Amino acid sequence: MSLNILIVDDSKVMRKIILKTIGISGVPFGDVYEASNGHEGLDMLSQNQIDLVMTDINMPVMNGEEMIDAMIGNPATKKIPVIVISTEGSEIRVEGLLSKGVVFIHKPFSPEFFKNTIEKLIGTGAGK
Amino acid sequence: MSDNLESILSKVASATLEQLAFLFSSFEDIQCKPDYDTVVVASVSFSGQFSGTLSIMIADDILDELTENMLGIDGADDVPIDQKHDALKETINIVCGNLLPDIGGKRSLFTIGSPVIILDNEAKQKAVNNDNPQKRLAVARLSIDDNPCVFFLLIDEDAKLEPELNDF
Repeated sequence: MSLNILIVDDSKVMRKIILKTIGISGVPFGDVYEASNGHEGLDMLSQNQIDLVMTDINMPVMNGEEMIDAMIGNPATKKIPVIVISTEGSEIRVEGLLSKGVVFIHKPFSPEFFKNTIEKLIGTGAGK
Repeated sequence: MSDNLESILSKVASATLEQLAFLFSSFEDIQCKPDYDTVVVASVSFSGQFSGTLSIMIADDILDELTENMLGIDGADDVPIDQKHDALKETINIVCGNLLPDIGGKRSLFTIGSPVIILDNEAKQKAVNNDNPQKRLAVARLSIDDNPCVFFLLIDEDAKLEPELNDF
C-alpha cells in the first residue's frame, strides 16, 4: 500500500529532510503534500486523501498540537495516524502529545528509527 | 573534561551536527578573535524554567557543507541563501531542544522561539558575548575541518539547573 503523506513543518529544509528520509527508509509512498503550519495542514487534509500526517509542533500561525486537536475533533480526520517530529524534549509535553494518540519522533532521527516508527504505526507491511 | 555546562553543550552540539548533517567535529581549546565577515550567526531564544539564548557561529564554508549534507545534495552553490540560513536555523533549534532537558531537567518546560539569522556584524558580536551581569555565558568551541563552529549559551545568572551543574 502506498501512503499519501502530509508533512507539516515551518522549515522548508526540514520538510526536504523528512521527504528524503521517507525515500531512504523504503516506506512506500504515493502523493506527498507539504504545509508550513497547522492551518495550512488542515486545508490540505480537507482537500486531499491523506493516509499519514507528519508534523512539527512549534510553528507560527497554528502549531502542531492545535492542528492535532482540530483533527481529533473532526470525524473526517480523527482516525488519520499522526507522527509528531519535533525537538520537544520535555517529558511532560511529550506525554501530553502521546495521550492524544500520536507517535513521537525526536529530532534528529535516523532513517532506521523513522522506518521502524512508521511500521509500528501503519503496520509491519510498510516498506516491504 | 568535567561534566559541567560547557561540556554538556559541546556533547549535545557535536552529536546533533553528526546525526543531522554528518559533520564530525572536534573540541577546540584555542580561543581566537572571529572575523565576523566570514562567519554566520544564528540565535534562538527560550523561556520557561529559566530564560536565555543559544547562538551558533559557523564559518561560511561549513554552512555550505551543513546545507549539502542536510539536503543530501552535491554542491551548495545553487542553493538559495535563505535555504542555507534555514538549515542553520533548524540546526540551532534542534541543539536547543536537545540541550534544555539535559540542563534544566527532563520534566522541565520551556518555550523555544523562532530561530533568527544575525547579519549585522555588531549584532553578531553582541550575540556571542555577555555584557549583562544578570546573565552567564557558556561556550562550546568546536572545530569542523579546521573551521570554527562555536556555540554560545546565555542564561539567567540564577537559572535553576540540574544539581550536578550548579557548580558551573
